[in-house]
Amino acid sequence: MQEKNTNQVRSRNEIFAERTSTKIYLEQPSDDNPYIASAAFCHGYDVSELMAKRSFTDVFYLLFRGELPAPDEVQILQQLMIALINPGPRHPATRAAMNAGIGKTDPAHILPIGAALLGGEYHSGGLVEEAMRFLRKQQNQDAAVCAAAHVESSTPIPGFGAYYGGIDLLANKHAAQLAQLPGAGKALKWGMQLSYALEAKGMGWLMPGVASAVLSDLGFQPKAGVCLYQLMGAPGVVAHGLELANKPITAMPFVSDENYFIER
Amino acid sequence: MGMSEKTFSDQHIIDTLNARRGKIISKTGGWFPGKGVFSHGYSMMDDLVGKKSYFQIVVLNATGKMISTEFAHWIEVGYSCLSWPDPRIWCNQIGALAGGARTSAIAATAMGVLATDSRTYGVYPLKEGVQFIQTALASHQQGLSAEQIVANVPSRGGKPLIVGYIRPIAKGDERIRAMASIAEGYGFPVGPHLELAMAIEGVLQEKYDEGMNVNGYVSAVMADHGFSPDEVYQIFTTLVASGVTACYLDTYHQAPDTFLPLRCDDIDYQGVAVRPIPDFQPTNQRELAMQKIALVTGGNSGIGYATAKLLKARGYAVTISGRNAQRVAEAANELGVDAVVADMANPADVARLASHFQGKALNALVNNAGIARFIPMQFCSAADFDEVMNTNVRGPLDLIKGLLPALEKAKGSITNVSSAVVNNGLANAVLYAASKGALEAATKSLAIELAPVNVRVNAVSPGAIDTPIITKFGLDEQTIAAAKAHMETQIPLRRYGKAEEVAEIIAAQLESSYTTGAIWAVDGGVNVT
Repeated sequence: MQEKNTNQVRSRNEIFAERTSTKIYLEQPSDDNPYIASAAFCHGYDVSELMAKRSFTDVFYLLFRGELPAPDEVQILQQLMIALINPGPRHPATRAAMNAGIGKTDPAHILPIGAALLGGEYHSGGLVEEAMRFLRKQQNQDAAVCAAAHVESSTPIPGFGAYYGGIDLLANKHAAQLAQLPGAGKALKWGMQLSYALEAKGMGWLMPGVASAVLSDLGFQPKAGVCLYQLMGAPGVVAHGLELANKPITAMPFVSDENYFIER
Repeated sequence: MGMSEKTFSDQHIIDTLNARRGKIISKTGGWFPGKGVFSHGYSMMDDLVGKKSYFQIVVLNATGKMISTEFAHWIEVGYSCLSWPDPRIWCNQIGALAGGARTSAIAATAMGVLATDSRTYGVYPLKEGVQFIQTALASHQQGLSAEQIVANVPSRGGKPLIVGYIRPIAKGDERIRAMASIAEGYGFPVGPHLELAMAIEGVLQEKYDEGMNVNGYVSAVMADHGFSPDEVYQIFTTLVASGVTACYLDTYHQAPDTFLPLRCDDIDYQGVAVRPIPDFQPTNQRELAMQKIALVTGGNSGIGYATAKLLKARGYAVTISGRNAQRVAEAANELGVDAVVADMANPADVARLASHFQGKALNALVNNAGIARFIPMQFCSAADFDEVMNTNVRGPLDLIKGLLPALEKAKGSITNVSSAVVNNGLANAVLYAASKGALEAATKSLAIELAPVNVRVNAVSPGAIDTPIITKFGLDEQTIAAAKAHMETQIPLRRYGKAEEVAEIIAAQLESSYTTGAIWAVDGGVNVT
């Protein structure tokens, strides 16, 4: 090994910020204790006033977008949040939370365990960023042409495809319902055409795709996609985990040795 | 868009899934009570536990490969090098903060480990580090010199940007020395990746006074040992765990809030200034253009006020009208809406009110303004008759006539506010009941007449609602109280309604795109008694 500079450790004296900055939240210090806030403002709005005047969905949107939503926007966001509120008891994220529950893991850990899996790249939030970028790029093209090209080349379409070998009916139903709302935008409507064009091939909307379309139309950043997907699916994941937390460990299947095969 | 209930599924996939229900098929191993534990072809308890080191087993589980005791020791030294108890390192700081928050040690350690799945530091960049040196070696073997390789990478701040070289925060990396001395001690040969890495470092030292960092060194050695980028990442997943645990415990045993305490003003707020909450704020021109427009007559009090407030909250741009200039102005100010002073009994006022919407699209008209006169029949004068009929019938119909172009333009909706008195009868309310009856009759005919132009016309029929109109009947307080108490016994729901409850129905009726010519009761059940 060369001895010269590699082992002489010298600080770079980089300039770091004096204080952490934020555009989201202002905590107003109290008169006699600078550590205690007397009021909090989210993007300029007093949180007490938001509590009295605005819905949870309004403030959720405000946190990420910086402005309060218009009625059509909050309507479609809220309906999306309900569509995604529970990935269902068969989703790996929910099953992980159920495992934590039945295993008597500290309930504080049910959410982070489930949320981590909800950030995965298969049928989960890990797809959302790519799907949002795909929709933004493709939504001015002919959907049928796009579908045919992907089918022909067998390349995956972010946010669309087959689930368990066929069309995910729930995802398609939710998308169609959302597309009827006044707040439905270009990405969602284009996705409807794409899913229609894929139908005969046993493909269509996947839930992360539906989320991507609505979030894209609402102007959320693609990078926020995975986090929003985790947040929106978290309630169901946690509910299922907690449901099993009081049951004996035998209340879930444990695969017998006869059904366990090592293939090498 | 046709929405089929068919899934067009691939039967082969369903069959495959069915064959695997309730079964585990592992390509790695498992535990068979009484028979043993198997891992990658080894019997764990016979071949591995106590015979192989922990890091040999870690690498086996991460890659399926069994490495030598010596190389496992070198990897262990790598883990040691990343087990610093310094909470300024980002993953470690998560541990320290977790100690302050009094999480469990496992939560703290696991979350600190999670943080190293980062594009800039920790474990994830090892993937890129291995990728870089493997690609660089391939180019090198095709004739590219270390100098040319450095020249070909993108640069930042005038220096080449290569994962594994040019350490952040500090120049030089003492961890390389520690690991290299182990490698030298065991006599590991310097492979082609490490040789090239050192040549690259030589270029960087000469040209930029920069060197390799631990990532670059580990990546090169791992590549020389035949590991892929993914395998290296998998081997080092919990690299920082122990340092995080140390940082967690440090703060866990100190008073809460004392780790880097922050005053409110230690956070530099750079967002928008404090502002009041709008009931509705269009965020851009498109939304402004989409904003629906509503006119509520008699919007300064009672049902009209509640309706104006609700419509505003639902995103309408609302205008209210009323007879009393001061009260209308006050209400408009409270509600944050536009106001026009207009007496519905005065045709000039009605025309002026309608002219406010000339050339515009009006989505919603609520004909709420009205007067009530409780006069026994024998005392009803022609003036009383005119006043009630002009205000409650002619005015609203004139207004509709004047607003027809604006309503047609928006395919708007009209809600006339009638009264339960129409169907139930009430002594001394003849003029009022007759006027509201006329309005209901007009509602149904107008609904038919305006359906072809997509303007819907409906009415609501409120019962006893707690609004100021009750005090305007010309009765004394005692009589009002007695009448109110008696009235409540006649209402199936046993109470007066609230203006807000009527407003909800009006708003719903305005939005009900398939309802026209309907009279909706909002009367606590009075209409069925």
